[in-house]
Amino acid sequence: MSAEANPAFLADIAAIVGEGNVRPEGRHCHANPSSASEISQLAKCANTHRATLIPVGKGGRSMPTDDMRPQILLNMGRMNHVLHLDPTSLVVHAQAGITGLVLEELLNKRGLTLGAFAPAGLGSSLGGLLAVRTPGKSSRQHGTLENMVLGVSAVLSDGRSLHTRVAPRRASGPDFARILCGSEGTLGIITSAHLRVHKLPESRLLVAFRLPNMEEALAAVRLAMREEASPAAVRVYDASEAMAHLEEQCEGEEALLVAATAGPTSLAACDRDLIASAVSAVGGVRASEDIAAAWWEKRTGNSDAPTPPAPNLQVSATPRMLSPVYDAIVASCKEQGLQCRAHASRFDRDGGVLFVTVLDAEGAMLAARSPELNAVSDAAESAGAYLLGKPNASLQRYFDLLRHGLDPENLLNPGVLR
Amino acid sequence: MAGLGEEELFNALASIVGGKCVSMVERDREVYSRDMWPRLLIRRRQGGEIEHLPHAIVWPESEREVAAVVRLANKLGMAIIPYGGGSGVCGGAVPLRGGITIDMKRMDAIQSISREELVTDVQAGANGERFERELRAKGYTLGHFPSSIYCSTVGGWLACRAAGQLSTKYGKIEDRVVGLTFVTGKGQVIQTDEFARARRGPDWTQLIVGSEGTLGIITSARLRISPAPEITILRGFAFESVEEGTRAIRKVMQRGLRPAVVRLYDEVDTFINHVSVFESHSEEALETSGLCPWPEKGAGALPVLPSSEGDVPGTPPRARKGMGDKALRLGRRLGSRIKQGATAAALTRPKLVNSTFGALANSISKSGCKMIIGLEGPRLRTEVEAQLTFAALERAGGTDEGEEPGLKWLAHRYAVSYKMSPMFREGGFVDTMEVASTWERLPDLYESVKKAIGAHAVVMAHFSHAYADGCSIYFSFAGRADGLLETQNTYDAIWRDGLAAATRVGGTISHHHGIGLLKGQAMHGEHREAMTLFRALKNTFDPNNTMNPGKMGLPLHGEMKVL
Repeated sequence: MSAEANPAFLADIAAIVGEGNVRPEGRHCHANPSSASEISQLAKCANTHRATLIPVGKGGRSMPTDDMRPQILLNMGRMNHVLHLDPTSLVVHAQAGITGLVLEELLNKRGLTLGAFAPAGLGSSLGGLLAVRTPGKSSRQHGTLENMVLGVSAVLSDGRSLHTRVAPRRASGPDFARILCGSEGTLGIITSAHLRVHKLPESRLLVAFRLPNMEEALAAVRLAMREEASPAAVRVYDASEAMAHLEEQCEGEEALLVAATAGPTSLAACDRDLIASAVSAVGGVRASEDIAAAWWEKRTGNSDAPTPPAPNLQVSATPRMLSPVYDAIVASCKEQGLQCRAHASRFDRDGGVLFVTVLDAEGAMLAARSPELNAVSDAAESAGAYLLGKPNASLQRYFDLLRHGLDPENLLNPGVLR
Repeated sequence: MAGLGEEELFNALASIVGGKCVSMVERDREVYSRDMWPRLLIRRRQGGEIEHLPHAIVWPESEREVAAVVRLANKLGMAIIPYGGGSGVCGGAVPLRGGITIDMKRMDAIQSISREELVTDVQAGANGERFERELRAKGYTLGHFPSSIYCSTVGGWLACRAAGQLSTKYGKIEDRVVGLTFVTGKGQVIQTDEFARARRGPDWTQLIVGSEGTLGIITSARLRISPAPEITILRGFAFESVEEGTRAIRKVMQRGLRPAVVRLYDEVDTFINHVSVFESHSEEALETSGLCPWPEKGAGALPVLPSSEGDVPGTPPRARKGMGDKALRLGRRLGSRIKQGATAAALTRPKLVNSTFGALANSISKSGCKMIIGLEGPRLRTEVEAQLTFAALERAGGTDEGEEPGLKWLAHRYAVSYKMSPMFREGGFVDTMEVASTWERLPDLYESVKKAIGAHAVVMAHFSHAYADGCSIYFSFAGRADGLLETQNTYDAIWRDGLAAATRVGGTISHHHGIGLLKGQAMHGEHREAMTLFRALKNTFDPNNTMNPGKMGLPLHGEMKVL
């Protein structure tokens, strides 16, 4: 196999996307298409040249793989247009290359928003956000990001384009858009999506509480949601995490709960009061609103305060299991002579996510996949946690069959979801 | 039957589910030859032959037995037809290739209810009403109240993406499902991701929900439940027009408010509804016949054309509001004419009746469109939300008509399904078409589908199942023609033209009844190239085309190419 790309291969790609939008990298080729039609032609080109097609969103690196075929690396950066904004239905049709943050900014200018999603989770391209299903992109108020999808357009491995029907809800077969959402570019390349958007809230109220411990804090969240409180965001810090993130001193096992409620003013106030009532029921007390304000500034990227490094363990769990999972993590760390701190957030109707930072005795973060960290994640899993980033092993054979049906030559992102 | 004799087939099935749970007798086969698809009701009523019979019916009691029957069918090259309550209205349970009908009703256990997680595990054959009643007894609700609740099953709901009357708050059934246990078309048992968001790859649950038994059989499900509501607040509102009413709903939904139920009746539907308030004779008949779950006198949830002669009881004071005596007399006369011999003549001249109704509704009633709206849930939040909702409706031009219209709707919300028989008895037919679109396209959807159906039948509509981004429209229509063939042709023309009109303006051909046999061709019009994805799913789970063949636009025989 040559270390350089076949000139005919490069020429064909250049003929599709234009000379200036092609960049060879060894035997691979970066292509910056500007339309679904160009992606469709690139798929046909991949078939002709027995190349693979790798969507890289706004990223740009070739994928290390055992596959010896040349790669067409689809950089979606040029496909960053909002194609249509329907202000009556509150639906936006945007190309896959626009980042969530840019889209959010454009919507905000028009009094709209993608929803109560943490900005930190919206940095990727829209196609990437939808193609990779991770639990961070959800909120109690608006559900998961893929729940915002009314329809997607995509290109299949043979180059044909398809558009799933745009409707608020359908009973005309399974949700075909959900085949593509989460498929990580292996079943089709998402080229655009129709998303439901929301009006910016009329009011946003911030509130903070101190609770006796994490267990009670998580119980308070559960209790409030049972009363149908629908906060835009809630976060629970353990004592160490409160110090690391907000420089807030907590006594002993004390935990900090911060929340933002949003919507019509009286409803936002109602949600805030429901949370306060739940907190009070488990022995918590109101804390300074400055704490919540500091948290919100950080969350929205408007704070100059230093941000701690990203946590090295993320697990999700159902509402009932969050507390036992937290306890198991703490116990495992203690047993191994490690330190840890954690916060829980991204609560929705099915559960929440625990973000854990595990440190060695000297306070240095443990490396990913280190034996000690693996032991902690094993303990979490045994206690009922779901580790993020694992494919659904029990359904792998069906995924392989589905994949083979839609991509018999295995051209689309062959290295992932194996 | 791959050379298998009747006795051998019976024995093979009996060895799996036991002899008492297999039937091959003619009477049972006839019963399982159809669901409640009106086209087949017309055919049956007018003496048409049964075209498709299953070879056998089985009543398994476990997913192991279901899987074994499916594997046997694969071995014999026979089709499998999953069967729940038989309440489907699209012919989804018709055994086009014969085969084995699997009735799931013995698998009806509520396996667990988790108070902490607010989920329940329930088998697919559980009857909807009993399931909800048991949840209520423990202080919970699924929040799913289809008008078929007395005769439909959990599995059937999931198979066709059903919606309940309170879906605006609780969501459709696909919004309530966390995971499924599912027997594939090859007889393998799988469990879809119960905590979907933690796993990479597609959300398998959403790829199976809505497949109407064409990929396999749902045997149990984990569903989200809610604490039973502490309070329910109901109101009637009046709007001058459909446009004003739909705009009001949109404003409420886009403010982030979530009423449990919103139903806006168009002018004709409002008018007929109003007339039917005084036509209680037919409801008395229903009460005594035991067919209907205790409807009381008064307005039904969804009015149909009055169906039998009878006295007109005294007019309730509220019901007179907005309607003069002259209008009432006209309305009664119109109603009674239609329901008698004139029914036939009226229904064979649908354009005239539609325009008459339209004119009457506009010029006589003066009350425009009626809306029923209700909220329920925990006391504190529901009260706040109700205040905001009612204020928003008034700001949008609505007139608050108090609690009574809402209470009446609540009392009669299941009655409509039991009012259809008389129409069939009189040689006509009634059916409903539920389509949906985004708000932007909704006026076009309403006008174009109404016009398409109105060319063949008397038509009315209400708007329900609202979302922030769109709404469903529920068209009710009644028609008739001379003779079976003509009636079928009229019926087919309504659906062909109505669905084509919905597709043309960007709506969906079904919001919650599903596809079955009725809308199979229209699936291709709606999804076009996206049918590739459906074919890929079919080949993944049911490569031998064993499961419910010939439905949803998939082929009756043979294999399929995906690409």
